[in-house]
Amino acid sequence: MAPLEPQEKVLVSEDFLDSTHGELACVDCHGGDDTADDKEGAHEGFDPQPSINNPQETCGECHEEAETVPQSLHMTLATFPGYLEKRASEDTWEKVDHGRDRHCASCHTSCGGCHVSRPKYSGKGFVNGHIFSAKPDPVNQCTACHGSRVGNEFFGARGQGDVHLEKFSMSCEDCHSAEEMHAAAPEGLENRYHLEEAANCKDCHQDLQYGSVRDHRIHNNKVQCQVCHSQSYVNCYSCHTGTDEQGIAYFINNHEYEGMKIGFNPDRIPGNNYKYVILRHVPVDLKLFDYYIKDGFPRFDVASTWKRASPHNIQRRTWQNANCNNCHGQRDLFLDESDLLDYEIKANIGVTVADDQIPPKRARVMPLGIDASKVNASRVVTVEWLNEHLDDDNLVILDARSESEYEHGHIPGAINLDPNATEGLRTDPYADSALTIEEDETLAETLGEYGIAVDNHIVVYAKRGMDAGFLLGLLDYAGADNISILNGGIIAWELEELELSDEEPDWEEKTFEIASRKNLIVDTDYLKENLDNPAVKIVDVRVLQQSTGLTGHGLAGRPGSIPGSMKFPLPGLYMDDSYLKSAEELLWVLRERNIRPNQTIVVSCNTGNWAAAAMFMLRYLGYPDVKLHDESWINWED
Amino acid sequence: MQFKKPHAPVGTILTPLLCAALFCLLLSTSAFGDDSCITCHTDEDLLEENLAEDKTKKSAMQAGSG
Repeated sequence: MAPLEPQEKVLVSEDFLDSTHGELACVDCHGGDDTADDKEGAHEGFDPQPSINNPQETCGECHEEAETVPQSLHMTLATFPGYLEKRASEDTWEKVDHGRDRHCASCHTSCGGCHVSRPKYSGKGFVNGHIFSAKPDPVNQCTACHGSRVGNEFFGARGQGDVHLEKFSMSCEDCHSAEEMHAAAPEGLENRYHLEEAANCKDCHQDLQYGSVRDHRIHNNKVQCQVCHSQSYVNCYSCHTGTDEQGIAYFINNHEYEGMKIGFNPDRIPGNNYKYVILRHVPVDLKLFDYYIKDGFPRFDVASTWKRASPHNIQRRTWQNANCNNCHGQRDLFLDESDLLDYEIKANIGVTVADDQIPPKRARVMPLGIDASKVNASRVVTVEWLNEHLDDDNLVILDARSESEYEHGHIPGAINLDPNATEGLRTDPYADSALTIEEDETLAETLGEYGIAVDNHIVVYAKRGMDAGFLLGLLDYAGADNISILNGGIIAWELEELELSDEEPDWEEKTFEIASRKNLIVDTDYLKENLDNPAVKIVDVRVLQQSTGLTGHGLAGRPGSIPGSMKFPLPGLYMDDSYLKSAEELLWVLRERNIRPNQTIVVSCNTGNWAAAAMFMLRYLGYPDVKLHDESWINWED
Repeated sequence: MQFKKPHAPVGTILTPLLCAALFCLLLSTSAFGDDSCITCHTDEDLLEENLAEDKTKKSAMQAGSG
């Protein structure tokens, strides 16, 4: 979501003046002085957020819902103080609560943040020229706040995205009704799942125990739906708060990682009485409010730091439900004491699953039938391998992060080549011609300048695996065979506490003898000719908000997608933190989505960058005929 | 021959005129009031000229998801 310019934020459209709300005088809701003849006078007593500051006398004049909205969870975040107060003491609560109010409470919103403007937390500004919409905008409103988890997971910026959007074009309000959004939270509500009006999968998916799915009959009411149907999701650690030199409040989430853990339900109530649930590590930390008061949480252990979660990345078929024994007997999938930090072991006693509490493996299961024999295993190396081979003569290590990240510390000997910021790899995006990989001569010259020869063993790492994958896709096209991605990237290197350098290495320019694989590239004409060819599968690897047409790319004139293309966001192949899912899991997922090795797979995105990363991954997995639609959507739509 | 219009009483003519003028004045004040807001807020160039730098600030120290 691109930020709005100051004038865009307050620009009223002519259409608004013809709408029902446009019939009201501005001062009726916002106050101010409409007889003043200058800006300052007109804004005297002006209220930019009447639905927060004065809902009953503004929205409430016509909308009876405004009576309960001030007590709604969106307005009060009522369950936050409850948890924090439990962990604090009578002596510390006042200061902890002050910290909560300065940091955690800044996210709240009311009618306006859902029906007319972007919420305050996301920078405010009219979504559509002050025109009110009964249905909130999923991109500019709902996920403007609920973006880091819900938005990223729902739209496929982490994982494959959510089937409710991808297949059924459902939006937030299709599950989260107005009744839920407007409901007043009862006094003392312990957590948001307890709200009577809260969305529940079973509002739509009813009577599962009588259906044809055997596993529903077996697991119904024992296992939360998301245990079987969600993908991996983000966990946050160690949030700290403070105030910077300018007096602005800030928070720092020190660690985030994509993963999945099943644990015991910390919160069993009628209607949600599951034994096993998906758990997410929340960012609470002993020192969360140390800026305001030291040791603010003397009763830290009274509540778990792993909470019930409801990832918004549902798929009918997931790796957990691919086979009984993908879950049964999988120690790594269930929360264990070894997953906990020293100071949170006691807090999580009730949710961790001991060895003898894990559902045992089933003796006989259906085989998955995955053929991993074609996987090109040499295209992935581990940090252990790299650390042992740092001095190899033929090795070139490329750091595909930004220059500032590289300067902050990199693997010794690594050369910084950020494919998103380096000229000479791809053509000028603002030129009249299509944006593509550079001509051979230019590409070879650029790679040579960075000390790369075509026969080097080239290891690429980044913070996000897809950035490394993009560069590897270019190298693959240029004819390099001995190329590898570092599993876990810089994060794995740091977690292993291996040496980091802040010195740029000396390297000599080389001649990169380019042998470009032209057969890997197809243009827009090829796609037009093959739209109805069943042997050619076009895979759109953009995030779902773009491939479903909700939003467009900055370089594209319009949103949309290539007819007949299937949607599979790139983050379904690369995890957030550069770790790779197993080849077996990726092959299974691709097969489930009917992306099969016996087809010609054409990968496309907006500009060709993500598609190049997808091409690298599919070729690593052994897909024999992968083609890159280098011109991608911005050329197609033009 | 010149016909002379009969004289109407002055009050009969002026009262409705004064009422109409007063009504118009009140109406125009209100309409002017709305105009004063929307004149600016429907003109992007005018807004750009009159709006200072965006006041919404996030600390440079902030990091990670909320």
